[in-house]
Amino acid sequence: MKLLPGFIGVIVLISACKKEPKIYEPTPYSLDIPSHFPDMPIPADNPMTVEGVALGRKLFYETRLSLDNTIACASCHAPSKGFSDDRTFSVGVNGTVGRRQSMALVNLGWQQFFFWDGRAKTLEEQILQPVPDPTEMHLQWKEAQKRLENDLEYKRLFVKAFGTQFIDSTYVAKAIAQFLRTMISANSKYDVMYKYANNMQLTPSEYQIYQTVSIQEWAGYDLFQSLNGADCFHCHNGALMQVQRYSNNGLDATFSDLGRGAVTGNTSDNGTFKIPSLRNIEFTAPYMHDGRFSTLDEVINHYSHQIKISPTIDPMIEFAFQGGVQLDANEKSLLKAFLLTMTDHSFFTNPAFSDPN
Amino acid sequence: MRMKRVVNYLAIIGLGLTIGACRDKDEENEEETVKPQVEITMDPMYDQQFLSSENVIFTTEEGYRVKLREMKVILTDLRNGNHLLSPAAIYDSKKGRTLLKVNGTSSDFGSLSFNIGVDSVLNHSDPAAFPNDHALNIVNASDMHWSWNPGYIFFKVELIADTLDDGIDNFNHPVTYHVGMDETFRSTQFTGLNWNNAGNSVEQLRLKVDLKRLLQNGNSTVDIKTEFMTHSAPAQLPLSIKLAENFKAALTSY
Repeated sequence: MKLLPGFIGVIVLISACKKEPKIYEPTPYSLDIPSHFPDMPIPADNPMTVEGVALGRKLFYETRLSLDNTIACASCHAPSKGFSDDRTFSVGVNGTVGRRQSMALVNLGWQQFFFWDGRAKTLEEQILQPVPDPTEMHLQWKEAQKRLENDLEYKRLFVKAFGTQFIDSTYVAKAIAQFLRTMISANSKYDVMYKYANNMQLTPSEYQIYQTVSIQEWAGYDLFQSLNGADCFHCHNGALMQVQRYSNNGLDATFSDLGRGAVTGNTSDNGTFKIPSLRNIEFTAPYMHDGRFSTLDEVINHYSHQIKISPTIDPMIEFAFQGGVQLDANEKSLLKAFLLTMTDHSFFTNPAFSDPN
Repeated sequence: MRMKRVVNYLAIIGLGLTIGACRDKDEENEEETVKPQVEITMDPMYDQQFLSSENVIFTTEEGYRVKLREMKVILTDLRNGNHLLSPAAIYDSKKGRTLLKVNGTSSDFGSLSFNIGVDSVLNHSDPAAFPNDHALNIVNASDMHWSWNPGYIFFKVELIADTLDDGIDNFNHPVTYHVGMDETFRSTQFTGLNWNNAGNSVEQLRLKVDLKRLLQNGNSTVDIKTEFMTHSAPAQLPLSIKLAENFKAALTSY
């Protein structure tokens, strides 16, 4: 009996030190960041895991996330179309037509805001929106959660990815975000040109590609970068082939869609939209926030001759006062040749991005 | 007897450790003392007028009515005396006035120095190679970087002006100053710093960029009607150099 205080002390000591049993041990996912790209910022509350990426990939192609089980994320972001949509406006459940062109999904891990109007600040926040949107998938998250919880396979995958059988929109968004962050496109002819132009070392296979760059493509590159040429580089630049800001690129003199202005309520943002990357532009037609241009030729013509002045016109469009940069037919052809160098075939055909179902 | 003593010692040690283990949690729950901080802010102004939004109109000496659309500045090697405060910071008029906030008090400060722009070595290095939280990382610098050569835009001032004195609002004259290239790199230093108590244990050093001085610095004047654009291309470099000198003079504490 006299030994009791001692035993109690020892037991208290042991129990104080006992660790919580580990529920799950996901495998860290190692991103292969291209040598000419910056590190990808990963949110602390959504680290990349092999299991999370696999789950996200499955969910990306999951049609049960839509009201009538017909539409998945991939329906409007199809691999064969540069993870975009070749329709002017995407069609949601029951044939509801949206009001903006589907943005191409590429190198999203480096984006600082999402949607044409930048209304989502994080990738996870962006993913939460299309499911309940009546013009898109039109399914309440509670119902989506129920559908996934009724599927034993999903329950198992959520446990593996997040250590929980409880499925909610937050976990769905996290998983899809992890998958989307793996979708890195950096294997185009442009990448080789970019590295060469900046004295970065080329691998043997890149050197082979470099030797195939034509005179026309280099001339187009020069035009693209030139202030007195096509003057594209103010908005489309660097490894990502974009700068991250909003711009009114002279599509209209008055605006039927206020774009960023509708989000901020600031008139100086009216008619401005997120500047998209030009990567894989060959496959991401139609172009602009409203999909008004079907071809690259139309886009080049716009910047050459059809710029419309408005109070919020981007001051970077230096030759707006004369309708554009006035490229002649030969220059247009060179510029187009360069734009086509941004195609990364390995990106569309990467089996890691295909439908696993 | 000896056994009993050992067990009692164990009990005391065990309880002691248990209490010790819990102490951290108790301490975490205690109210944390607010650490004093110093904050350096930047405001675009025209003379005494704050240009706090893109809708504020100022009138130049020539009578032009003007709105500031955007001002962004890259400062590097920010130092208090010899002490490095930050390797780089970006001011963005669309994102608020705080340039830098660090722990400390004004009494720790002797002087403030920094570069306006990026030195030639960093200016032509790989913008993707900086750490994620570095202001010069291409993701953070974004539209403040042209390309490896010429490198970073050191500062940009974008205005929209109504240059016709006809009583009708017609802001249709864009003014774009994108100043960069090694020739426009400048350094500056502030001594006799004027700190303001901003409350909440924060002391503020307020910097301003006076656009009046940017456009007229002694004999160095810029007429926005005729000198309305530079991207620091070779032919535009004289205007960029003039703006770089004026910008340095326009940047003061208040």
